[in-house]
Amino acid sequence: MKIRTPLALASVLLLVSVGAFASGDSDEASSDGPVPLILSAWGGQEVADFYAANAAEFSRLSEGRVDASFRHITADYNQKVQAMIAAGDAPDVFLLGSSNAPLWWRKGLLLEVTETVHEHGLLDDSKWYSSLFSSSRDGDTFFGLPDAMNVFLLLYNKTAFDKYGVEHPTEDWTWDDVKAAAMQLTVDENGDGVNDLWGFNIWHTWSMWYQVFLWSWGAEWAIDAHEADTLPWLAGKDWQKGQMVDSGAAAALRWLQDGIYKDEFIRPRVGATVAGEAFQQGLTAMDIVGTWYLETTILVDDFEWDIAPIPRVGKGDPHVTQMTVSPWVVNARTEYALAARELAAFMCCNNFVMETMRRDTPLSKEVAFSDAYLKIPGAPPSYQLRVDIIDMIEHPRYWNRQIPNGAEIEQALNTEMEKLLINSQSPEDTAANVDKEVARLIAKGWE
Amino acid sequence: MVRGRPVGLRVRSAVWRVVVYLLLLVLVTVALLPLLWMVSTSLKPGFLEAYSLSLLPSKVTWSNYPDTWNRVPFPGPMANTIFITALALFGSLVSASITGYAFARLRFPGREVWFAILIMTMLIPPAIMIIPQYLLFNWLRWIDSYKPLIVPWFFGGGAFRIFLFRQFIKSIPEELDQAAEIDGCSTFRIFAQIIVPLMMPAVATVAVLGFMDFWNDFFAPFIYLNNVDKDTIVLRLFRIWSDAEGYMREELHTVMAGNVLVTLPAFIIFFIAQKRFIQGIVTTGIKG
Amino acid sequence: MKGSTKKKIEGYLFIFPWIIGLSVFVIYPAGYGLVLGFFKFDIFNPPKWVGLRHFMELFTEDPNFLKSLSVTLRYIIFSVGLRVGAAFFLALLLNQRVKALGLWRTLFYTPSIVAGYALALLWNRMMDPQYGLVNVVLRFFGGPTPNWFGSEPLAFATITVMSVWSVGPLVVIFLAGLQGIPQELYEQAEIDGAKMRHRLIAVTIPMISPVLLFNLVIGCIHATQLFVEPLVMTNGGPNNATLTLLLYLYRNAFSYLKMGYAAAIAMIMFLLTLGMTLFLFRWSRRWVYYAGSG
Repeated sequence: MKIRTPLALASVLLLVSVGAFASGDSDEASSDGPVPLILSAWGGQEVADFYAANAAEFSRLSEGRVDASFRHITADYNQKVQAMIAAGDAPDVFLLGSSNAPLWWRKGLLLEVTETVHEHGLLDDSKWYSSLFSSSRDGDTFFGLPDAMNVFLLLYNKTAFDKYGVEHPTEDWTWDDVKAAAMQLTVDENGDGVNDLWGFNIWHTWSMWYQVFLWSWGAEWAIDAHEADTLPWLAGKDWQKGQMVDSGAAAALRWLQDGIYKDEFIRPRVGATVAGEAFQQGLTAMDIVGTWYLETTILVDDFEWDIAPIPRVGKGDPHVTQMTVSPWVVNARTEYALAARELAAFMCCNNFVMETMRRDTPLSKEVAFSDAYLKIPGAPPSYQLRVDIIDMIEHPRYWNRQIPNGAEIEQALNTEMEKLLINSQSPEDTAANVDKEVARLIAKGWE
Repeated sequence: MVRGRPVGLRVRSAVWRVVVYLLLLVLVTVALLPLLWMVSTSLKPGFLEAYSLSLLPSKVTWSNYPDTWNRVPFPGPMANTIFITALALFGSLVSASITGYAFARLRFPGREVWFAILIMTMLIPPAIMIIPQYLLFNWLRWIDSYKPLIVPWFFGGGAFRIFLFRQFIKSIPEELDQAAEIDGCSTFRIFAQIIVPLMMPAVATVAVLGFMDFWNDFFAPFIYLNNVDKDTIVLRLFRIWSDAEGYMREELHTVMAGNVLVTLPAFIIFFIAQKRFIQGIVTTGIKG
Repeated sequence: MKGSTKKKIEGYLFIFPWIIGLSVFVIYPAGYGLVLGFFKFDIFNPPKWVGLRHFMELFTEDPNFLKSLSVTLRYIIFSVGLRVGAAFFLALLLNQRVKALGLWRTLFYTPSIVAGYALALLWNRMMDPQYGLVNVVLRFFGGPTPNWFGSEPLAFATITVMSVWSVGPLVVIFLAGLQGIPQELYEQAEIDGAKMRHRLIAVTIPMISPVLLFNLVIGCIHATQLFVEPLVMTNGGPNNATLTLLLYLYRNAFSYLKMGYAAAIAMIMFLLTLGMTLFLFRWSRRWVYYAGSG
């Protein structure tokens, strides 16, 4: 494996120097063999294999000074990592949802990584998508190194579009176009009263999906503050109260509600079932998904598919979406702080990691457009769009929830959206109630 | 029991019997339909057929089972579950039988008070103990190990089990151990050599009931186990089928094959030992 | 005298492991649990006394808690009622001197062997609005095909009705109780000219009443613990229609790291169970008939 960026070299040098100092008063115990590091993240088996390979590569580069291994944690990841920290048995480096990172930082569970960020020059905007740091920084202090970015796209089943003679989505598509196509693509082929295909799908109970959907409608609060990189999630510019009422959100909410109950092109909710299976099983023609979803969609061989930019409100309106990023953080109680920070930097920004990642878009602009990353078997014609879209989006917003009680706010959004989607609440009331809950939960303050 | 009854009554009773059997037939169908559907779906060849009305697969696809077995994968979690179940069962049987014996046979001051406490613990809702127990195990550094799932069972083995053993031992004639006592046997030897062989039926009952409890448990593994490689089988299925982000392309027949596989051991034990099983439920139930 | 002292000590020796287990794993946690509700505690930082604040918040500010309380109460009433009713009815049927009683009993018991998680998963798929078994059958007969998890009453009803499937143990207990009723009582009633309905009221129900009480008490405690079904089938939704107290407790304790707040919820659950049990015992004085005493 070629090591092309200086970063990898720097990692190795640093590790070597760590080893050299270890005999002193440092906590690194290299004289007793390699420093054991544990790396953790969530994800399916494909992702777990990827991280395990990364850990092995890091160990190899360290030339026997570090023995990094991957510990796979699934379902209720945050709860499990919290439990591990409380029990003093947590991984040294782990991926943390951006929803929780600020809270954990405030609770003193994470190690500061500001120096690491500067050492590797990660704030150089010409080489890196540096704004991704917004979810893991508190002013000039950094508490995490971004993993990779997740951008949301319109995913469509090309085979189904061709079969029913519907034109493929383009960059110009508005939500009205999506609706028109979706209505043609909601079909009951054998006439048994069950739709064999639905035009559109909702990822219910996933608050991030709702958020993405609302922003793409150009809700005022998404566009309004574009002088800043970040918006405090559902809260307004004052970071105190909700913003849904004073926005175009109501139109978006109505689109969803009507899509289920009036125009009937959205697949109805099915309990707590994971919504993601629907597209890959060929049950829905269109879906709004994060780029991470493409990793497993590539494995589907029952039909052809492709991606298009996230739709917009009217022709000529901007594409608005958000990018999400989960930082690699270092456990504040790790015994091997130096090595752990380097491992986090390796996971964030090393070429070996970035070129083989399929889940999300790498942080390095160079790697993001490289063949190693983009030219992979099974990728559809427009695959490069997953990178291009980053520049196409005129108002990128970064997932940032440095407000108190984020997890509860997320739950409140889910609950209010559920009321909307079971047709027991109007779009206007939904917006009002979300705002009310956001204000109440922010006012409760940090625990 | 045959007595001379008026003819009309006999006809009515015959009609009544038909009604009873018909009702039972309908109800048993309703009760078993979900399980039949689970098994039939698990054998269906593809995703679309999995959702059809027919209970018979067009092609019985046994390969769904090895596929699911490898995909989950079953062996590790299965071994973990067997390990936990075996140890927890062993601990609770030994401990509960000893405690039950003391409550049934040994006379010691305060026995009635202790027994009343035992009965009361059955009524404490477990919810109030979830958090403190978790904090306790955390303080003991037991989280993410099998200790919280096993060790407590060695200390008493559960109020219901103690109670069941006590009831059973009380029904064993006391003359037997009195004779042994006169022969100079120690209390422990009486327990080990006279009572234990006689209470094997009760042990079998408690073992079968306990097996179901430990094998099917969800909450405790869900709370206490963190690492994927420590998963019990039920927990593993939950994790892979419900993790939205680390999600697998699940298909109905795969999910149902997993369901059948996880239920199978309990089914086998139930059908082998159903008499004991039902006996146990009656004893714990009725005499409470 | 010597022997009896030895025996006294021996008794304690035999129950000693249980006493340790009781103190460490039951009494201490239960006691701690009662106190923790008055503290703010996130595992990482030391507990902080907040007095009654959690309880005030639960009842005055937290809509989710009030909803989950109402969900749990309704679930207890409906599911225990349905389960006990269904089990009693089945036991009565099986008690009609049916042939192959053992087989019937086994068949009715079978659904109760399936692990709670597997059963919840099975039901989740069975209730799929398009492809689930229930709607496929309904569609075949031309009935309505509702979206079972798409409305609050339906989602709640699904979870409640589903609980009847694991009614096997109750049936077995009732059946054993019915079989324990002396045959002479029925014969006496028959001679007195009592019709079947009257025999049920005059003989069966009084004789079975202690079992009924037992099933009610255990059923209520059990129903308070509902967790895995809503977690797997609906995740508490829609609009918290299936958010049980235990699920809400879990979220607070382990997702939001509010251990103290969750302990306050646990305390309410404790009081709820205590109140229910006391009520049932007190109420039962009116209708439970103990053969021995009277």
